[in-house]
Amino acid sequence: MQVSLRDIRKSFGAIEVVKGLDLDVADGEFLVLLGPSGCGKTTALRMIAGLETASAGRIYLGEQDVTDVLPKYRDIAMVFQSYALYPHMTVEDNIGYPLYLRKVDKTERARAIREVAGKVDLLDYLDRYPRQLSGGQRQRVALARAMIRRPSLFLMDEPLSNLDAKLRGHMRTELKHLQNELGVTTVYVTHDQIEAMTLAHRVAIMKAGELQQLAPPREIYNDPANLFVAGFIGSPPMNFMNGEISSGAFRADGAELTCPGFGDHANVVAGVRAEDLRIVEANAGELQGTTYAIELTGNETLVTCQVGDSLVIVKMDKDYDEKIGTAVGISLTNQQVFFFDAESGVRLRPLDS
Amino acid sequence: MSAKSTTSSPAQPAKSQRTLFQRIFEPKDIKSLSPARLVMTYSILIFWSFVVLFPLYWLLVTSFKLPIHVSDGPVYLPFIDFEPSSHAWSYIFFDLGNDTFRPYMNSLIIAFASTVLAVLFGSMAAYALTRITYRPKIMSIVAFIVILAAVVVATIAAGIPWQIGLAVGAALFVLFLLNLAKHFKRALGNNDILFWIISQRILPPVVAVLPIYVMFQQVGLLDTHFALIVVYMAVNLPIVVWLMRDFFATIPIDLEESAELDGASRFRIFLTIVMPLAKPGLAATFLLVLILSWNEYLLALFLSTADAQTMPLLVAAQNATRGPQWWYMSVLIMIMILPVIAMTGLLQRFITRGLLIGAVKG
Repeated sequence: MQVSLRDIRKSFGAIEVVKGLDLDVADGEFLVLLGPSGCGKTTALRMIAGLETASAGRIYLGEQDVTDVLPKYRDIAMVFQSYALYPHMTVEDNIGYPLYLRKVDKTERARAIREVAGKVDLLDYLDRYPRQLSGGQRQRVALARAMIRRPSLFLMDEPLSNLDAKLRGHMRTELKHLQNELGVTTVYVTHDQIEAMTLAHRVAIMKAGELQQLAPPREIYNDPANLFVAGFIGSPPMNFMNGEISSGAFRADGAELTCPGFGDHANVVAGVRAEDLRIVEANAGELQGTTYAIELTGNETLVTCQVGDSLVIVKMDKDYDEKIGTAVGISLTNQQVFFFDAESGVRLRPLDS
Repeated sequence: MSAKSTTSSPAQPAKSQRTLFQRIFEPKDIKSLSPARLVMTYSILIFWSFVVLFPLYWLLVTSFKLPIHVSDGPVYLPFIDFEPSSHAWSYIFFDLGNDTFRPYMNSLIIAFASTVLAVLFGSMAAYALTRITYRPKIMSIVAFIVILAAVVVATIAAGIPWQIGLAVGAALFVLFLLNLAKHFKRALGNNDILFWIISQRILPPVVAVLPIYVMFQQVGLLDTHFALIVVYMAVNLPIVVWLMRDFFATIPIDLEESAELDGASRFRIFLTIVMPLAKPGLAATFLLVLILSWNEYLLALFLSTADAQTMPLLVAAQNATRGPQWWYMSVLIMIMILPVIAMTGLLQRFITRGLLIGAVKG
């Protein structure tokens, strides 16, 4: 089902945590709300669920205005970060609880429980209590409980953050597969950019209660709307250098990049990703610096270079090695450089485009 | 770091090489106690068990003594110090007969009924105070006052003296003014309500007992089960609210929000999620309140005479015209502690169990 938020606001006392959020989620879409902690993403999700009332604005599920509708009448299922399993009920009763509340008869309920438990691989655990399960199994119980009544909307509040790294990767794959199979509209909150990039059809990046950019993951990565988005997405984070643009070139301490078409600007941040850079001979390339640290991560080497006042990270292949303190040049492998206004963080674009 | 460093720990001696001192004062491993501590620990435990259990033993043997054995000074060992006799037991069970069983039944009915009601209503109030934020509006306070004023008028119309109506009205008016004054400074909140509830226990009961006596006399409820049940419930409600609020606060709110989204109503959440999880708290509170009601003396003394007389009164009555009759008292006390022991045994398993494991932690 389609979800629309129209200028949603939420204040706790004098603090406004969501500042006029407009969002449309298409039917069957997997939308990820991404942002650092305290950016209002969880509050926004709780307002869609009806667990918080919106201070202003309207929320629509499909055609219906649900702004003042109680959670139980919204036909929404939610997976909590803590899983929120009922500890005094068996796995079977936990999964079947939504159907029990809807007075579905026992045999039909048992059939539905077995079907959904099979989907998340829990058939052998139906008689157990949550305390007898591992973290990953608890997570799957929570998922099954959300799936059993085929809600028109799934809400997930950092459902994977309590799992260890390996399990998280596995559950991410499962989650994406299940959502695709069920085709239920999903709104997913996370602060983990990998989860956002891998799961989402579209990512909504939030900061301090405001939407920064709403776009498919690839577009978010390749065409960030502002300095915050550029710095938030990507690992290692994008390299930033402060400088100025004059007569078609960006100049900073130890750097000179041509940028045809850009108007003169005194206070500019240039951003370039580590994989778009290569270490070359000293005095060759667009940037000049000295190596500062060299880290082998396994399949690649991260070379940190001091360029002027900034540290620039370059991604090299795993065989690269160099002494720390060596003077090197850095060249751009393609012309993927982003320019931002240093004060407002707004992306600068060529004048003629 | 060298092996001879003076700051490093000394090596642990091999088992066979331990000195006598080490054998006595050092534990074998980190999880066990040293022999010396073991002896100390058990000595203290045994001593304290004796302190706790001896009075019970004394009661038991006294219930089998003849008056002569009691007045001749302390004797403790049946068949050796004195010849046991069942005269006290047969007096209580056969001679007194119904005069024992009626108070016993009264006590059971009054204590259990008042405890069940107090725990039921008290936990509802406690839950509401934990999860719902109250912000009273001026109009609702006014409506409250108007309704209660109507009640006062109705009581007067029903033939109850106007002085009582006036006293109730005045008390309500003071309360109203207090609330109104507070309303303009800051909103009345849950904590004010909670404090008001617990403040009911600040005054000693003896202060309230005479007005209560007069009120029950007026409505003709003296010496009835109903009077004692209602009064015990009212007296114990603050304790229940206060205790249960803490238990409810430990239940993760996620569980309730999840149930809400699953489609449960507030009341169903309370019944199927909150109450089962609060079992340890409910059991502990139930026991505490039951014991308080079971042993209550002062209110029962005023509000019951014959038909609703409870066990504590019967025990006290054995200290009557002929001096304290310890042998009869012992028998009564012995049978009086049985229900409480039984309830403790039944509820103990709930109290010790950690029910919240597996709720929200990964």
